[in-house]
Amino acid sequence: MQEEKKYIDCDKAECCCDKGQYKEADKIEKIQLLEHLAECPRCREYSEKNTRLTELIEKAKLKCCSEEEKECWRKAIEEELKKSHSE
Amino acid sequence: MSTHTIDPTKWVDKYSDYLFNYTIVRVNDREIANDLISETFLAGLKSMENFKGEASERTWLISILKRKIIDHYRKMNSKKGQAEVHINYRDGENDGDWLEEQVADQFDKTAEDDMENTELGMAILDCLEKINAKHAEIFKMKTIDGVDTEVICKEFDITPSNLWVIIHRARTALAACLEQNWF
Repeated sequence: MQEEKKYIDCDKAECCCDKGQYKEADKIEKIQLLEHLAECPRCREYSEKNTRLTELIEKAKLKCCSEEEKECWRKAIEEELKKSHSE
Repeated sequence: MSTHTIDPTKWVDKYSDYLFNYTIVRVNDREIANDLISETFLAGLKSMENFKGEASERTWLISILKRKIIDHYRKMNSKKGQAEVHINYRDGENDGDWLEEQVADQFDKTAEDDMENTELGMAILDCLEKINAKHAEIFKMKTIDGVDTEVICKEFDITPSNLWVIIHRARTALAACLEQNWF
């Protein structure tokens, strides 16, 4: 079995941190990130900001329109534009 | 001098999420919000000739939407006479409950928080409009709608590594954009 690389660089650490915000970092990635953060002040700052960003997004309780809703509006606009062009 | 142009074919992709969030906090009903946005787009199409380009397309659409929301509440108020009042306080031991509820006025704090959250939400969408459109769309799917990585990768024909690079760029840009007022 291939041994997992123990120390990760900043790019990989940031990627693990991003995945962590979506709870998609696996166990190894979490350990690698923690080890990296212990040594890297720059990534610690990134991690703090990233966590704060997640908190802000959750607080905002944003909602997106569904693709069906968007499609409905697109069609209505398209039809209206066709009508006005044919008049 | 007019600096902004108008292109209705891009309205839905560019502004529908912004208009939706603006409306839903004001009417608190998804169906009504959808109807008001439809009416806004159609009214926008009809009055396109009046667009002078002094304000951005989005600001112009919001001004139409605001009027639609006001009209909606006017219509609702005109039906007020038909409303029924329900009082659910009982006699006996619980008689005094209403008084305590009046004293503990929770509304102001909640309303203030709601306003701040709405403002934050609009600021986030505002920042997302400034980044690459595809990145913004992927970010919204992943972060706001909570769509699975696999599904997004399939839809955009990208690898998971690509997706995380896009998410990283979007998050970095968003944090930088929000930094001044919200961090």
